[in-house]
Amino acid sequence: MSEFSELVKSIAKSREYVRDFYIYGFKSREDFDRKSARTYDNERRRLESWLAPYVKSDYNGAVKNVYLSINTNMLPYNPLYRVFEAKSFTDNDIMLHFYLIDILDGGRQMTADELADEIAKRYEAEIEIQLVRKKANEYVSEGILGSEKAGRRMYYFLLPDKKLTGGTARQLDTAVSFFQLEAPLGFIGYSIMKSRGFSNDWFLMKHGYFAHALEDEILLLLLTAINGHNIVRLKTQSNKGAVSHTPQNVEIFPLKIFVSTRTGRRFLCVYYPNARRLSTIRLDHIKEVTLMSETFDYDKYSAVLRRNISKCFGLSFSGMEREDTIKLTLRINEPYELFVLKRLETEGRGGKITRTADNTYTYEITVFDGNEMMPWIKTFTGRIISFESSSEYLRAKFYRDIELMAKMYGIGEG
Amino acid sequence: MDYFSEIYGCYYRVVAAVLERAKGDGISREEIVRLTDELGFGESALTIPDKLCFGDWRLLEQRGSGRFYPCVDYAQMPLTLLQKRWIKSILSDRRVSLFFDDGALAEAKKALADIEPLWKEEQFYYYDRFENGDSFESAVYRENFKAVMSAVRERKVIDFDYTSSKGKYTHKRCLALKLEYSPKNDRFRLIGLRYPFGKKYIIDHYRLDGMANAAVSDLHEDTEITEKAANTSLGALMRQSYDTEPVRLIIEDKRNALERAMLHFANYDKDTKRLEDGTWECCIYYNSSMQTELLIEILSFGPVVKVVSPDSFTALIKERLEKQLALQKLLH
Repeated sequence: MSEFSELVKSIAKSREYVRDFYIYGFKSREDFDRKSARTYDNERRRLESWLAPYVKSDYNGAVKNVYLSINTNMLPYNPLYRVFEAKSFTDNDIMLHFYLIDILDGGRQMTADELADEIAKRYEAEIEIQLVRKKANEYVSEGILGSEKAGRRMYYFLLPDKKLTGGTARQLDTAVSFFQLEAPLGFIGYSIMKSRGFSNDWFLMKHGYFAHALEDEILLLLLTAINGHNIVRLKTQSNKGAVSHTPQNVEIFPLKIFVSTRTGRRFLCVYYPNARRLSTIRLDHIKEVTLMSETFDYDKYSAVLRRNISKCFGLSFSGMEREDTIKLTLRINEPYELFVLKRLETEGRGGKITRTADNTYTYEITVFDGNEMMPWIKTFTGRIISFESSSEYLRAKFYRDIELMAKMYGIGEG
Repeated sequence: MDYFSEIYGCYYRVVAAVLERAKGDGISREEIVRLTDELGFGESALTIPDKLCFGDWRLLEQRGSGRFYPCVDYAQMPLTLLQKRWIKSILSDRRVSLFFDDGALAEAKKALADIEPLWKEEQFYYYDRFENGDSFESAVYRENFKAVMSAVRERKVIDFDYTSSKGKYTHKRCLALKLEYSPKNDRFRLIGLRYPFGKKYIIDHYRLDGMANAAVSDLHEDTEITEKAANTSLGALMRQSYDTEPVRLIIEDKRNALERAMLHFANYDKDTKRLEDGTWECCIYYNSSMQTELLIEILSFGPVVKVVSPDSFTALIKERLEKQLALQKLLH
């Protein structure tokens, strides 16, 4: 039986467990049917180890529920960043990390052979030259070391940070404190905060959705592909368990990341060249990203996206050949409820707003998929005089939902 | 350039802290355990002290006193390329000038002139963000932001003129606690304790966009009360402000409502459990300042989410539905 370790080689598996514990917050051992009971126990133990202050449990009848209780409004950083601090390593990895930085500090330049000799002499540690060279090269690609060839010999040296004046450094720390909470790939900012020894004592997030940080490893690869205009191959899997692979010969052009500020969900906007259409894929459904060496004409397909994006209320391009027109007529009592008008203006994504009579306004828009608008439209419940649409399905759905809700709350009965 | 790498890991950081602490007078095994407990994961103390003290990681040496001394002279790891590229990206963010004066921003940008950013702002599309966000680039806004930032940093009372979202103009004064940002509203708000303090502390939120003439107060107040207020936990104050009874929702797992609701309400303090009939119960803690937003968020789910208590909240939903039915009848 292998020994339990709180460190892991890859976070792919743990990511799913942490996500489920966090998002659902009510799953018991029996709900996790993907793997064996021992896998569940190990993953739960890791979760407790990484995120101890946030792990809570209670009993629902005889069933123990373990959940993550994270009040995102009150935290100086995203606790789920801790997951990214759990990468496993070898004894040689950690020793070489401290040895190389120690030896090369102060501007020394050395070859791998010289480094191995110095390590043996200074620390009485025997580490093979090949391992020293491998680690030095790895640190060159991480940007910690630089390298320079002189004849046939490769010299390594520490790449020192450029010195900033005190005021600039302090202001940068403040900016990092904020952006580690808010910007993409925030764990990197958090890692800077931790290694530099400062903390975020000033900023909080409202409407912060922390679970999505778990997809950031995937996000980094996608941004690399978008930056390099690389074609990508994706392996996707919905959280309901159905596995699907993009067909081997289908090429996907990654264009942009779509983000919902109301749920935190993020999506990759892609162009499928064979099907000749735009689409979006949820980032938490993407399990693997392979960057191909081939590139695509980014400007051309970005232009296709730009032409279509105005008719995309959310992220569905599914009705590109069939548009939905929606017209709402609303009762807004002037001047007391002008905040409702403000909501239409700021949240209505360019829909046409017309004052048609005293206290009466219309809002009209044409979109690819009107279904995406329905949750937003229902937030105006109590103010909608009429809902009209080119789609009879949507019109019927709206009135049926109102009818069902009224019934649910016992309104209009008796 | 790995995102998930041991160089950003918790163990390397614990070891760096141990090496730093061991400089000079050395460090005992017990101190290593304590430091590991403080900085590491829950079970790190089962591994790190033994690895350091028994020689698997030859980074410490034990001397006659029994204490451990560093074999390496710990030096700060320089920023990695990934970290530099991340900083480069935030230096191009539309809000960045709020945190820097012009000279400092130019200096920071110059230091990273040869670095490629990890992303550019236009590569992200926030499709449902409100369109009336703060005017981050306005000179007045920047001035107010800097005054607020200074008050938050020093936990001082701040004075400002304030225009509320309903257009009411007043002079305000509060003890600055935190700056809160909402990506949905694209706004900063100051969270402060209303000043002068009453018997009960009152938390207020002020939009930075509504502020004018913000200045850190030169009041010499009662130091004792200021310190007491400043040291009070904001989390505890927020919890005290919640209504005693949470909103209790029953969620049917139709139209993927369960996952949508769990994601949507993820930013609230909440408890969820499964009921015997296959539905889920979700209790959301809230206060009056969150009420309207929570109400319309619940309405957006339609008939797949039902509020069962408290009665006061159910009454709000019923009122909206009754108005809705009345409007529909009017038309027909």
